[in-house]
Amino acid sequence: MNVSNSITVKTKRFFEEIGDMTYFAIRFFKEVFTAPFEWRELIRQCYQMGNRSFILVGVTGFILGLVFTLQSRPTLMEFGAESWMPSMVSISIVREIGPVIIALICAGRIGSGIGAELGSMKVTEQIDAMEVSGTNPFKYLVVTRILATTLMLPLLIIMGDAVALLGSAIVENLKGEVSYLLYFNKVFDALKFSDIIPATIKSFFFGFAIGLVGCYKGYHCSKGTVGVGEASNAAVVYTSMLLFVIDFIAVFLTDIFFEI
Amino acid sequence: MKKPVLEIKDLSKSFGDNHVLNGFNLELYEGENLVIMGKSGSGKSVMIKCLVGLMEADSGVIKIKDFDIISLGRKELDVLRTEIGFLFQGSALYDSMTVRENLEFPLRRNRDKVNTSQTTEELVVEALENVGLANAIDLMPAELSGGMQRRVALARALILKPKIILYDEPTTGLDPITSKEIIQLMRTIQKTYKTSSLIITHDVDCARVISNRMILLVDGINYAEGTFLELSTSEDPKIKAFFKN
Repeated sequence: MNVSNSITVKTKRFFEEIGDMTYFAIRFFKEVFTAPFEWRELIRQCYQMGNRSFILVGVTGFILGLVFTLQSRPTLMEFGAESWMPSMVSISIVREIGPVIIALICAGRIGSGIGAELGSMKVTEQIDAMEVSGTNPFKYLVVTRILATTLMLPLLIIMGDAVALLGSAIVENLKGEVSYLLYFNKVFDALKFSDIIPATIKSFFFGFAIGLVGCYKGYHCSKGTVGVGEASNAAVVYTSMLLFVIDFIAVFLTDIFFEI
Repeated sequence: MKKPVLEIKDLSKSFGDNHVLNGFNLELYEGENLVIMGKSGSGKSVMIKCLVGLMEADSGVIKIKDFDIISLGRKELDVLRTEIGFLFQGSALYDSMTVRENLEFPLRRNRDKVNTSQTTEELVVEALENVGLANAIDLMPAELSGGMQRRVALARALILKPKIILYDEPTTGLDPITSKEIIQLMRTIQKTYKTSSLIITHDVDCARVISNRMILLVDGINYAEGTFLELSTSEDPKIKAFFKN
């Protein structure tokens, strides 16, 4: 009986949370198009998110391309298909692995940061202080951060994909003596707009999800410093789940609208 | 008859079954220092948050300069908020900004509300000079002591030159000497800026020094009202309990 009660309560709480988050997203869309616009804060957030994640995304992308090529090489060689390496790596990375891995990295790096920052501002009454000073804190803190993640994530993913391909090209150059020019010629031959466009569109949604969940968790933080930790942690967990849901929907829609 | 600058009538607020305010009333007059005293959890902070629209009251009327804040829209409320300074219990300084940026923040959208020819820089320096912290202008809040943070928060509350200042536990968490300094500062500010102040506290020393009039908040209602002398010499056991130490 207790177990069923607990499941009922948790299910109810889950759907309540989805409802609250939907309301939060609707509020974002209402506020994003109404003046005054916080341009300076938006640019500052874009700079911080892009700049601070640049090295992390670059290193992750590089190792991803390197490891992926090293691991796939023996299998392709077994079938005498190593010439397919650039096509296989580029399509896998651009379509799927690059966006998802980099979005997950950014969920940990940016999403948790937003959750913790807004959470600590909430529990120390800084958000209330902003409100009473005649500034709309939702607009200043939430709208700018969600916009910044939505705009910056595609750029980080494109950069990460490029570095991953560079990593792959280095392995191919060292192990297979394939020139960089030949490697990238093969990459661009293999890639179509139907690979790049859906992946780029998907990355905007990934960015939106990271910003939305991080801001929602931080903005509704309670229970003092414990709550800040919970907000930061929940931001990463919820975002990671949401990223896979978005990815599934994106692949499903791509399958319908583009010939994969 | 003198007209109040701030008026609360029959304010009620509940959290589930917990009835925090049960028809609380208050009138604050121009130039007055009104102290609200009550035990922890008696609803003082809830009342002050309802006053500036940070919390929504269940029922009642809150009038600031003849505007009923409960019926105001977001934009009108933001305009009215610029006429009120608010000192938070924990100072609530923006910890990612310097002292200068903290003080500039309320001026960003409301520079025209301050009728002065002074530049933003001059306003910030003046506000900091009034709290004796002009040399801390480029420091981060984390580099300041608790008392200094409270002073900077006070300077930020004053930057728009408000006519009403709300103090939420201004001396909580400070040592006795710093508390005295803050109380003295509050008196100086009232003279300089000619403000009306609503002070929420359970610090008897603070109430004694600063109050023109006091209200004791018990069980969500105004239990007693009068000057510090009248209340501190009362024989009512509930009132005596406040002044016991």
